Amino acid sequence: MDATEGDRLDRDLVEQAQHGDREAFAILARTHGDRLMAIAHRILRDVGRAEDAVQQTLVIAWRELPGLRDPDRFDAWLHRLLVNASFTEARRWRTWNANVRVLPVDGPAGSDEALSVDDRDRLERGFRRLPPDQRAILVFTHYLGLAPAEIAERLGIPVGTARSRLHYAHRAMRAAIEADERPVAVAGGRLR
Amino acid sequence: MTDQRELDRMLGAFLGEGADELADRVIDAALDEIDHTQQRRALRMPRRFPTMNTYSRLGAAAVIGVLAVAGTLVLVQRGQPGVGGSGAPSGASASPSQPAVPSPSPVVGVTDEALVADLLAMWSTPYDAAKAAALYAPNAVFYDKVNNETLTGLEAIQAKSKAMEAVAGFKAVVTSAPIQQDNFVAHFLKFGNTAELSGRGLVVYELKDGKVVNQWVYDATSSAATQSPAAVTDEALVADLAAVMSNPYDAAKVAALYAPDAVVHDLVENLTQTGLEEIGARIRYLNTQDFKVVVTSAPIRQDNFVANFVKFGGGEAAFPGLVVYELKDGKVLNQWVYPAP
Repeated sequence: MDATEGDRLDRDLVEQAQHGDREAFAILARTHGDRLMAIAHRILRDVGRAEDAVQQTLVIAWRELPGLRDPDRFDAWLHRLLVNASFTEARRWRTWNANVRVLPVDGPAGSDEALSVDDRDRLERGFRRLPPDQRAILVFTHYLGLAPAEIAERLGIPVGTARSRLHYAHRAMRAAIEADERPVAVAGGRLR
Repeated sequence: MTDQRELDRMLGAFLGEGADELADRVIDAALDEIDHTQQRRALRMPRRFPTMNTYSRLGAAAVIGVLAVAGTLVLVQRGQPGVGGSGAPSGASASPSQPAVPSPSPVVGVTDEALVADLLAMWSTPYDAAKAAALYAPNAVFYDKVNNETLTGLEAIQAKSKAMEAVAGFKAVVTSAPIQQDNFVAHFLKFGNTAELSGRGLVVYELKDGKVVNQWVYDATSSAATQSPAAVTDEALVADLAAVMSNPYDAAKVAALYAPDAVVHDLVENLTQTGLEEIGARIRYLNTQDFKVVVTSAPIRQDNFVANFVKFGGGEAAFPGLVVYELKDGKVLNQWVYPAP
């Protein structure tokens, strides 16, 4: 099945689900579920919370689907719902700023060839310090490979805001990496 | 110094790791919940006005209100007492209970005067589809935030306007001077019927190439039971509010400007802060981002709502936005921050 055929099938399913077809929506949920989970997990850094965000997204998507005017925009619309659900999940736990202790991210780890353990720890520590909006922009940029204009469209924000968030997120991550690279710490105004 | 290419590489590798499969039990749980969840009915344009509920009726009236008000912009700009200098705009004839149209002095450079003039001519006369087509872009969009409804395209806007023309006694009144930032214009209005102007709205237009391409109506109905004049002028108030967001966190200033149960609805970042503690935390975070708010227009007011255009961002970044405050006893009870695309 090529991309065009897949898109047409998706559109048919969306239109059926818009008219209350639960079976069609179930197919859509299973088709898009893995991608939603991947995004939510990378933003939230916790399998349980990511699963909660995805479940909430699917329920909201079903409820609001009749209001989706362009079925071809289903994928982008779903991502926007997911990001909002992830923000809600993040606010519920309120650990964005407090949790600076490095914890191993749940789920399968990737290849060690790309990143050293130290690099991963530094990135993890820096990423956990970011607010949810900046986490999301990094995931959409570096995981999904989207440009700011595409991200802005998906998240329903101005392009300038997307660029701004990306700028701040990069700056924060760079600062986190470089701060951790410094060999000495300053305490009480004196080197120790 | 970590260069951008190295940072991109590290982030790509870092974010490439993580869970990639959703457990079946999660989908099953969602589908179970969906089995007991009704879909929200898609909003459709009502066929007959009498079948609409009060809220919808007010929102529908806003469509006409917006368009009538667009014409009134010229009225305000020219300082004339009525349409064509001799009468009131359609559905907006004067009555003792109506607030006076403000003087033209606060108007900040409405540059698309011809467009506004044409809008006035159209909406002060019986509905004319051809004129509407000349003034609104074919893909113009009307965002009715009162009813959470979006009308896309000229035909949809025309259809609703035409339907509403049949409503007897409809009336809309501009209650503030227009303010402008770049190609965005905003003002307050009240709308309703000859007996009562019960609807409150804030209207924003985006103009492009001599036509209206987008327009929004935000609900400006107060939730505050009581109100009293602010201790300072609106100009001073919005300047203080911009400063408190731009400067290092000052708990005393925040408490002086915001009610204890104030809510900030940040539609740019899609965040909400409730209460002084959360607002303070947000300001402290913004401080770390070198965030600034610059007031770029005079404030406008309707009852206890105040609005002004701003530019905000950190460092050299400057993004246009619109801020609306609902005041209670001289303090901010609700604050909405809207992006301008």
